[in-house]
Amino acid sequence: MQKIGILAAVILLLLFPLNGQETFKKDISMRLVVQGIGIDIEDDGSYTVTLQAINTNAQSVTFEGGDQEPVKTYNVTGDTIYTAVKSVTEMEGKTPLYSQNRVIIIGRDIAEKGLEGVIDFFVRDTGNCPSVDVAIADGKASEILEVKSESGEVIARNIEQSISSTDFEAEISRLQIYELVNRYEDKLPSFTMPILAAVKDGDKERVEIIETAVFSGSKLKGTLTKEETVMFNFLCNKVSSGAISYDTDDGKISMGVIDSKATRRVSLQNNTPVFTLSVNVEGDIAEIYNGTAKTVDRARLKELKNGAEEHLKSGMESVLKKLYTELGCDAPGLSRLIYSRHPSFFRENEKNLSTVMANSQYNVEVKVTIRRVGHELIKVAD
Amino acid sequence: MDSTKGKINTFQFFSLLFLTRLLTTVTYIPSYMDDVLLSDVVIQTFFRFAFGIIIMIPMYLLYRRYGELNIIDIVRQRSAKLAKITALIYAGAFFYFTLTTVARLDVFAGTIVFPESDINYFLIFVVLIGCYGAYLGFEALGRSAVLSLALVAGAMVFILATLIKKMDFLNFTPVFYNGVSSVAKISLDAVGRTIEYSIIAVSLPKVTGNKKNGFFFWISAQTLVTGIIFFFEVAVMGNFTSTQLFPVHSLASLAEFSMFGRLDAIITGVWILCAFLKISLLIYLKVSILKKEFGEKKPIYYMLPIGIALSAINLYVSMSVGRFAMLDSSTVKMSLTLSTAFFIPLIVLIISGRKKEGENCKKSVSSQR
Repeated sequence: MQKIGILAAVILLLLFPLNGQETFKKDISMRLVVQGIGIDIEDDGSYTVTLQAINTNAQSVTFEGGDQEPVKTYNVTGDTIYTAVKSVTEMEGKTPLYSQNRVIIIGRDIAEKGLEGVIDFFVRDTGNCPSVDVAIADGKASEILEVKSESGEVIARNIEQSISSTDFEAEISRLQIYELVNRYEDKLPSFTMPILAAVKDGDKERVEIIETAVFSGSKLKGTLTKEETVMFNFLCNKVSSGAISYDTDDGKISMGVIDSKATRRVSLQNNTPVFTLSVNVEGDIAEIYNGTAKTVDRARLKELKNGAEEHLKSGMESVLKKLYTELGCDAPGLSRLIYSRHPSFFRENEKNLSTVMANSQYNVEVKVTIRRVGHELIKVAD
Repeated sequence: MDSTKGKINTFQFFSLLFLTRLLTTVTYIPSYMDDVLLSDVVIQTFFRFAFGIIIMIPMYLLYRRYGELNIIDIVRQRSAKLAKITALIYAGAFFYFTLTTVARLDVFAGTIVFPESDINYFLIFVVLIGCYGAYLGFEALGRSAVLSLALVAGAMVFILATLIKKMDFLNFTPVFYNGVSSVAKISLDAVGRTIEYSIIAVSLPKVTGNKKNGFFFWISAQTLVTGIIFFFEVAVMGNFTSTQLFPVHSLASLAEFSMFGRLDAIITGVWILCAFLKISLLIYLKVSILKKEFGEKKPIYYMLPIGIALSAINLYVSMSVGRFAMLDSSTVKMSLTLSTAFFIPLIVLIISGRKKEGENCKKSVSSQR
């Protein structure tokens, strides 16, 4: 009897606070399932936030009337990103759900002024996933998210997939929010991220990744072309597949990259850092474009190998020069190598790191191993 | 009469302590480690090993002298009144740590799991479940711990394995770049949050088997696992770690395997499981200590006021992050842990007299059996 009494008391106790728990009545149609967030800044300093969300009210195509659009895009303005986003709740009567967000696109204006005003919202709000991709818009972020896909796909999802597949080919420098914060909090902050552009193709419009943005501190300093981005990714040990093309005396060669490993070392010579970046690349010859069929013999193999090595070496050296001498950006994060290997030197030169990195010496060593050449004969004796 | 009734073996006991300590690691808040650079966060776990051994020396010497008596039993040899006071100190320490465990679970649930909801009922439910777990007894907790250990180990290994490809060793900072003292300080602070040392002090009579080996295995495993978790945190997240309220949870949200992304739900499950075990164990120990000193009444007579006090204080603290910060004080935790795990055993060791008295106690205990 006593046990029944206690059980009844416990159940009543639990029921009491559950009364009127409206917050648990929310079904998916009452939430704004955000797929993409774009942020632009206005002349008066206020933020315009573009939210792309799945239309949870979309009716079946056989049902007449009703809202058929699979996605909805909202443009809202506020003094801060949070107040801007809150006004969507007032407009639509739905609370945004950020956990399904796929991409954060920042307008070029903000990138040039500095990102410090926008990062905090994405770090502080616990609904945001730290592995969301971040990109810059070549213009306004709203233009990117307002691109209409013919097949009705969610553009934010397309962008995420595009980033993911292009990253696989090493043609972009992918950045997720946790990586951005990690590099932003460095002693010499610098990072890279893709630049997106809305491209018109006749009547159709699509989003393309055109270049890579390079930041120093929180400000956009310059860009890298796709070719330069590939070289940059080799230096940063971010290439696991991809393709390179280079010229030899006999024509243009295309090589599919199977694997790449980069090691980075630093030594001090006459109080100047000397970086040695060794990149080992394994690849298959995919195409030899020279108009005539030729067999690949040992001498030719050596020529192909040397050509690839020279192409990669000169490309990487050119990127390093651009980053450190022209742009003054430590995007590869080599100052962190000094920090960990030569902490005393780092401590002495902490205040003028940019100058130190610009005056440092960079030696690039490339070794290419050609694994396969495809359907070609290799002459054994020649 | 079966002499092992109400007892658990060493493996069960130290599995239980491993999981309760793992909860502290998984729920740590980086603001306690502001002065320390990333590599040192990993290194300090090994300092903790040394501090842990040192702290347990007085208790170990008492164990060698008095055998199967816990600290309160040893004090009772001298004075029943002192034993009551000692019991209250230990019960108070366990109560405080139960409070902070529930409070931390509240912060986690209120910030990450249910950020838009009023979770008061959740707190009451957690306390009720903890009381029920305590009611089931020490043996049930020990058996649950062994099963839970397998689940938790599997989950943690899985999550960490998926993060290997995201590691960047340039995230590590030079070791002791800002000196050794700050590292030693946070290491001692971490030891202060290890109430498990005090649990060992009162639980020895309830544990069968080779306790010395069990202790060394436990402290080594705990150090290693904590070091590995922090290592992965730094290697994957780098500076992002210090921006997160619960970095281990954020680390898990970066884990992905095949089409499964955001494995933080697994960490949430681990967290809740370990929290349940810790809350239940601490309530059980409080009730057990108080029953022995203040009368063998039904457990409900002790559990009810403990449960009400826990719920009431946590409901009050839940409404304000400032109150949580005041409650979750490193100074209070360190004082309680060091008092109950080190200073009280040390004082008892010094006062308890010569070895002969210990031998007499051993004889009287064995004759009672």
